[in-house]
Order: sequence, then C-alpha cells, then structure tokens
Amino acid sequence: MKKIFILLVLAVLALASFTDKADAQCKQQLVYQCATQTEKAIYLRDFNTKLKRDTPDEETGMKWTVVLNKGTQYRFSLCAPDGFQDQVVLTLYDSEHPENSKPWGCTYDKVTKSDRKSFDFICNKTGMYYISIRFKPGEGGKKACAVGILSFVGKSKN
Amino acid sequence: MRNKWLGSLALVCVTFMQFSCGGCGGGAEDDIKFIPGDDMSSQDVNYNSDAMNEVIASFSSPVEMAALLKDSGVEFSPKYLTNPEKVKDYTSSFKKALGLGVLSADLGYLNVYSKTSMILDYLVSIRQLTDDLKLGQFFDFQSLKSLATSNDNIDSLLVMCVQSYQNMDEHLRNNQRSNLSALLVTGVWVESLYLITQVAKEQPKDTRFRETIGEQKGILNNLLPILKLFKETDKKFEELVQNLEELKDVLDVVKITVHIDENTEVRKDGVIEQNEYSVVEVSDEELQEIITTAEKIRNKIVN
Repeated sequence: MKKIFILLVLAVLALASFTDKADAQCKQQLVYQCATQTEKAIYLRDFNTKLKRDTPDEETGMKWTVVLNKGTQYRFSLCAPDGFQDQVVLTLYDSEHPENSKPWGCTYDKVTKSDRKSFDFICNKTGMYYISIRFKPGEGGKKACAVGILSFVGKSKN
Repeated sequence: MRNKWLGSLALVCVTFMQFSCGGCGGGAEDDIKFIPGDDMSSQDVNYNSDAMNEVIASFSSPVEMAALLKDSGVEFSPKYLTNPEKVKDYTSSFKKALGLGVLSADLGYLNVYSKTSMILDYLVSIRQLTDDLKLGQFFDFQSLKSLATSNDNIDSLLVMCVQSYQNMDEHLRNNQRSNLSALLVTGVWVESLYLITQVAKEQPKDTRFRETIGEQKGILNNLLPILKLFKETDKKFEELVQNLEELKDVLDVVKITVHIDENTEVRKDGVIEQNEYSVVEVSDEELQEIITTAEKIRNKIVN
C-alpha cells in the first residue's frame, strides 16, 4: 500500500510539474519570440494572458491600461501558440472608442474576416488607452495563452 | 488505514496544486508580502485597489523616452545619467525603490543607444537594489551580464532588461507592495522627464520635445493621487509629494486642447493614424521652469 501511495504521489507530482512547465514555457517562449520579431521597432512591454472559454458566451482574456504618447508611432503585435493564431484578437481602444463598437485598432477585421499579426498606431494625443486580448466570438473551448507586444516604431512625421 | 492513506494523498495533491498554481500565474512567485521590520511594508494601507494598480501598471516603459530621443537624432550623452555608485547611500526601501526606477530608466537609455560597455556598472547597482528589495529572483544578473559583455545580442539584452523591470513591478503590485511599485514607476518617470528636459535645456531652439514635455502634465495628474494615498500612512512620501506638487503647479500652466478632425483618420496597410489630436502650448518661460523644477526633483531623488 505504501509503495502504491508513493508511486501515486510521484505520478501526480510529475504530471503537475509537466503541466506547469508547459504553461510557463508557452509564456516565455512566446514573449521572447514575439518580442524579438519586432523588426526595427524597439520592444517596450508585453501583455500576457491565458485564455480559457468553457461556453461560447463566456468573456475571456484580459485588458490592460497603457499610456501612449503623442507624436509616436507604436506597433501592437499578437502572438499565440500554433493552432490558436486565428482564434485570438488584440484590440486597442479607449473610453470614447469602445472595444466592441469602434476601437482604434484591432488585429481582426470583422468586415473582411481577415487577421493581422500586427498593426501600427500613430498616437496624436497623450493619454490612457486600453489593450485587450481575447478569443474571437464563438472561438475557444480550450485553454490557450497569447502575448501582445507594444513596440516603438518611431517618432511620427507630423 | 486505506482512508488514511487516501486522505494523505489528497492532502499532498491539494498542497502541491496550490503551490503549483502560485507559480503559473506569472513566473517565480514567493511568499513575501512585505519585508519584515521594514517601515516600507504597507500592510496597513488599503491599497488593494484594482483601479490603482491598473494606473500604476499603465506607465511608460523604461526605454520609451530614450527611444524617442534616439529616433529624433539626439546624440548619446553620459552626463544625463545618474552615478550608479550612489546606490550605496540608499538606506531605506523608499529610497531604494525610487533609485531602482531611476536606474531602470538609465539602463533603458544605455540599451537603446547600445552602450554595452557602460551597462555592467548599472547592472551591478541594480542587482544590489533588487536583492535589498527582495526582488532578486526577477533579475538574472548572470544572463544579463553575459549578454552585455558578449555585445552581439543587444536586442535580447533590451528585451530581458525590460521584462525584468516588468516582472518586478508586477510582483510588487500582486504582493501587497504597491507602495514600492508606485515608487518604481515614479523613479522611471522622473528620470525619463529629466532626460528629455536636459536635451531641451541644451537645445533651446529645438522645439520638437516641447509638446512631449508639456503633455507630462496629464501623466503627473494620474501619478500624484496615488502617491498622496500612500502619504496618508507613510511620512516618507510627504517630501516626494510636496516636490511633485511643485512640478504640478508648473505643469498646470501648460495649455492642452483636444481637437477632432473626422477627415484625417487614416487606416492604410495596417497603419492607423488617430484623428483626435492634442495641441500643447508651452512658452519659453514655462519650459524653462519645467526644466529647472524637474532637474531639482530628480537630483533630490538620486543624491
């Protein structure tokens, strides 16, 4: 009995350890990969989230606030693990440009139903903005992680 | 007997899962809620406010101002930087957290300008501060040192430096140490303002940075209420708040108006240009006063 107990404990520990590592690796690998693929843009910060949706109506993901400065061209990039790239969306919005109706920018075009890995935003007004990363409506049902990267493209020409 | 074993097994599993979940939320976690015996521990402050943490987290990256200066063609100048040796004089957690913010902005400046030969001194001082503030687990000194000395992967060094800063800040906010997180972002903000105002001071005829400096009015208006909240329970914040209120008085004179031009919003090839724009008016005299006040506050922090 004692041997069975020890074996069970070891099995649970090994399984839990593997799951935990897989989660951590996903995050670190994605962040680093995404952060170093900004071409000539300078990495500023990242937005990590795990996504999980059990029912189609459930809200997923996270939102963050970020200060953007006037006169700067920023790049917002989205990375997700293989198989999830076309299920996740990154949105830039503020209080007067709501996430679901008229955001400033989005990696998914609802009209053409096409995805973009990144978009650039030329900020003409310093202030607080919101970034969200979520499953697209109707997508999900599994666990995933996704990383948004904010990078500095340059001073805008205006 | 069997039930006893199963009970023990369940206990082990639950214990392990709790431990395991603590780590999967955001990298290395520890149980430090505050530093024992340290008067900067803020367990008495009701700072567990999501809104406040959201504001603190929104502040600029420690490399953004440097990126703006470099992209504008401003030459690198070591004289803008604080002396990393000064950290030896920082005795309180208050001073160390502020100093860590200042040094993080300086490290960002060095990274952006690829000055790897100078980075090591800053890494050594930052390691000292992170160890003292029980944040050493987020600062991989050996890897950063290796990247800095190999000099062939400056992008990786920059990413790793910024992520270290981001992880430290997040850890502080998630572990009831938001007071130190607020000081960290204040240090970054003050040093970033110092960098750009020093450039403006040396190039008075160059008006490119005037708007960026003037728009710090809005940033300070978000930062100050948070610092005032901590002032209620910690007298060390009093002088900092007083100094920043002096800067607020100077920045309040700056006139910012927002305009909307429905015709100018451009969405082309994945580039979106905002059709709302602010106009920032800063006179020569006002700019001079901002420069002087920012310099005074920054020097008080680092000396």
